[in-house]
Amino acid sequence: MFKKLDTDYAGAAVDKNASRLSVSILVAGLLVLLVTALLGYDAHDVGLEPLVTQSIELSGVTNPVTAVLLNFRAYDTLLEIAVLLIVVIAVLPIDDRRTAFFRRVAETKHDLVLSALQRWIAPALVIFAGYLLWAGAYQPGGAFQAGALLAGACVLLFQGGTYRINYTSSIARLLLVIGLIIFVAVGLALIWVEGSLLTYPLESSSILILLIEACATISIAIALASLYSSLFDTAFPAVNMGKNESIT
Amino acid sequence: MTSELLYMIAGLGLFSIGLSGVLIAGHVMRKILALNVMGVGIFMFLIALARKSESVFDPVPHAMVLTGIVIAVAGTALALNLMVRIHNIDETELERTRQESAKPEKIEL
Amino acid sequence: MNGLSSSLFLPAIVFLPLIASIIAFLVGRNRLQGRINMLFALLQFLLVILTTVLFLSEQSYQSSRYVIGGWGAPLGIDLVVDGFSILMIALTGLLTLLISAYSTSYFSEQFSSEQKGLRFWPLWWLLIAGLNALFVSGDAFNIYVCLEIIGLSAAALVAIQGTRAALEAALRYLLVGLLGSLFYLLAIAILYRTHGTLDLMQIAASADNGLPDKVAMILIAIGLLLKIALFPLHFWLPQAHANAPTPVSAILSALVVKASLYVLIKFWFDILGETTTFGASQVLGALGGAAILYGSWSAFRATQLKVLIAYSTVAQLGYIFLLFPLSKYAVGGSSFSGSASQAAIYFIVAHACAKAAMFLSAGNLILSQGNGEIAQLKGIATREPLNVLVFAIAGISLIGLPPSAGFIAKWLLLTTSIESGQWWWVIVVIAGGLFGAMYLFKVLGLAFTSGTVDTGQGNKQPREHVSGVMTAVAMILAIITLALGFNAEFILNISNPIVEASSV
Repeated sequence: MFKKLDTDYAGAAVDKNASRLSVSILVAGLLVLLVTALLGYDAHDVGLEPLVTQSIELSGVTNPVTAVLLNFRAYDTLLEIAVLLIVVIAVLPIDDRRTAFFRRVAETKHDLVLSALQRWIAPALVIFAGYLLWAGAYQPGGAFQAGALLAGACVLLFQGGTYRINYTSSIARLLLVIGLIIFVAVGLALIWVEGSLLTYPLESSSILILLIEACATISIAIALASLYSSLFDTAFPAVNMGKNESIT
Repeated sequence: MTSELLYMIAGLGLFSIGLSGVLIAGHVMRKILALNVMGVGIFMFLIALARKSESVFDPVPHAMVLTGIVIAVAGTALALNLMVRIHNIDETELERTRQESAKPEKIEL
Repeated sequence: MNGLSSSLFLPAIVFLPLIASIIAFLVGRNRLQGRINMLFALLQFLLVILTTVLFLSEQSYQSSRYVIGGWGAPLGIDLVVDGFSILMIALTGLLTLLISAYSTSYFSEQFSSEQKGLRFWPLWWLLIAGLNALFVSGDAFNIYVCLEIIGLSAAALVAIQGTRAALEAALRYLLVGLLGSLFYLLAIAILYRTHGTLDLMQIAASADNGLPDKVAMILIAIGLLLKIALFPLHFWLPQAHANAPTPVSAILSALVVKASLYVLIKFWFDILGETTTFGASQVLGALGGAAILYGSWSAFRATQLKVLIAYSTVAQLGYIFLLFPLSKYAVGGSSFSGSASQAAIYFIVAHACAKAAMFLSAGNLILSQGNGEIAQLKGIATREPLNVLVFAIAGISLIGLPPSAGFIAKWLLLTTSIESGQWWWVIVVIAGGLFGAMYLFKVLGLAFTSGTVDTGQGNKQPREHVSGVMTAVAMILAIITLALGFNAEFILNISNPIVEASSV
């Protein structure tokens, strides 16, 4: 089932060696087992909802999901940012470190639709990302959503091959890890202040959470943009071949 | 049967569909997509079980889903990157053999 | 805060490698990179030693907890450490120090400094951070995140050389890892639905023999067996471990598979111990037995040195799985204690040291030889006597000959199987030892045969100089393997203080 990893464009939809009958029987059996375990047994009455509601006033934010993500279970979120960093490091397109962080590599093409999109949508995305980051404290939103929007803006700017980010320049590397740095630094500093890892003092918890989220947003945005660029650069190396000389 | 239960069963169904996809799909791209379908099934299950009554929901599974999504994005990106790199190596190899066979005399490697 | 407690150091154990990774990434391709990383490896080792000593000096021997964020379980996440996890942390600390020292000189020749500075070191430290975080975690969902850190960074490290074989092995490894994690995540979702908590101890307290818990245990077992590569789910392991750079192969075989095994043991015996039965354990034992025989046979047939060692890992993991049938299954739960667990823990430690030593020495031999063909190793003992010696010592431990750690591990397994009246495992263990001797003496026999093979066109790669550091690190690991054979009770006392170590 994993013996041959087909990467051909015209590859077969179904692995010929896989026995469809036995797979269907196994999976159907598993599904029946799962559904039986679901139907016959009641869920826990309330889960952790009462505890969260009870402690939410101490968390510094009013949105319960943000409270869980960045206060009660902030350690998970910290490690989650590390997961993203792993993939970024693994796929990072390596460029000359001396070239600028953000640069124009080709003349702007006169593509009315693209330039209109870039001029109108990209700034709007940046504003909207800022709003989402801020709104995360009291309603759905937060660092990842904002970061994803910013990354979307970056992808929009990459279209047409006009702009490039050098992900191995010092600035880019710093921006990629700034979220993790601030998270780790705040978490460790709080050991001195409060005596325990990631224990926010009540009065400054909301500002610390906002600081961590803001830095995480930047890192997530650059990280997602680099994931896009890595696929684009490896998928179409020929497209980028003649463009390595900076024009600006 | 409550509607949450229906959503949970649907989530488990998605998980199973994804699992069979992972097991029998031929192309790596399909396997990666099938893994994502499995993940989405679990997320659906978690969101459905978070709802405790009409207006009360448990935020912990929601947070788990958000964390899970980021991890799924990361895993998918790495898998796609590896897949594309393998594909490129194969393409380059194919191109080279094509050029060599186009020449009148073959060069022994 | 009364006095110094081992639990206070738990966050540092996770955060130090994370900081090392950030710094390695920021430093990038600088000449100082190697020294900075050695400094962090030393710091991490000292920290681990300090934590272990403190833990051992605490008379209670109970598991100690560290509350993150001041919330406490179930709302927050707690770090928990007990005898088994402190042993795994100590093992990780030791191997990290040694393999980091090996890595500083390993890549120097064949690897661009950009790749090494920007990819290898940061990923390496993130992998260590993931391992440490997993061993101290006391939260079911947190373990999922840790498993993903380990799985993704390990796959990325396998791919680092960028050859087609390495990329394909990494992709297969990654897909299998993701699949295993998803099974685990679904099990956690089901457990959370039933128990309303993610804290392991609280799940353990409210777990019963109901169907949801049983299903969760099945899902966890499937997911983790995929990641551990128990026969017949081992298909991804040989290629992944053989195509990785040597230091990565060493850590993958020594620690990364054991991390998933650690989680499985926790769930099987402690957390969902009520759901596991003697019958189910016999299935795992049988698969383990099959793994021993199949792995040894495949290792014997391998033509590449690293593939041989990777198949040997498949076989050795099989021995550890004999733990499951040999443990006592009382009504109303089983526990990870008694002679079977001691044998398993000893086996984990012995295999980690011996396999790391073997991979490192094999890496040296391959560097010196120019390629990984076993047939080309003829007469290499005259050129690389020390590395062949390390290989031989590690091999002796893997076969289970005295005086080595592997001997004691096997002895414990044999006595336990006789005590529990399950004599059929004795046959498997002895047969496995014989098979092990077969494939290892095949290599050693060739190495000691005089005269070199006629290397016509097969030996295209240039032979490289093996630095003294690389040989020394492999040698230290081999000496540790031997020393463990003389100091058995030390390990047994750490891991299982309540049950007195049986006199060996």
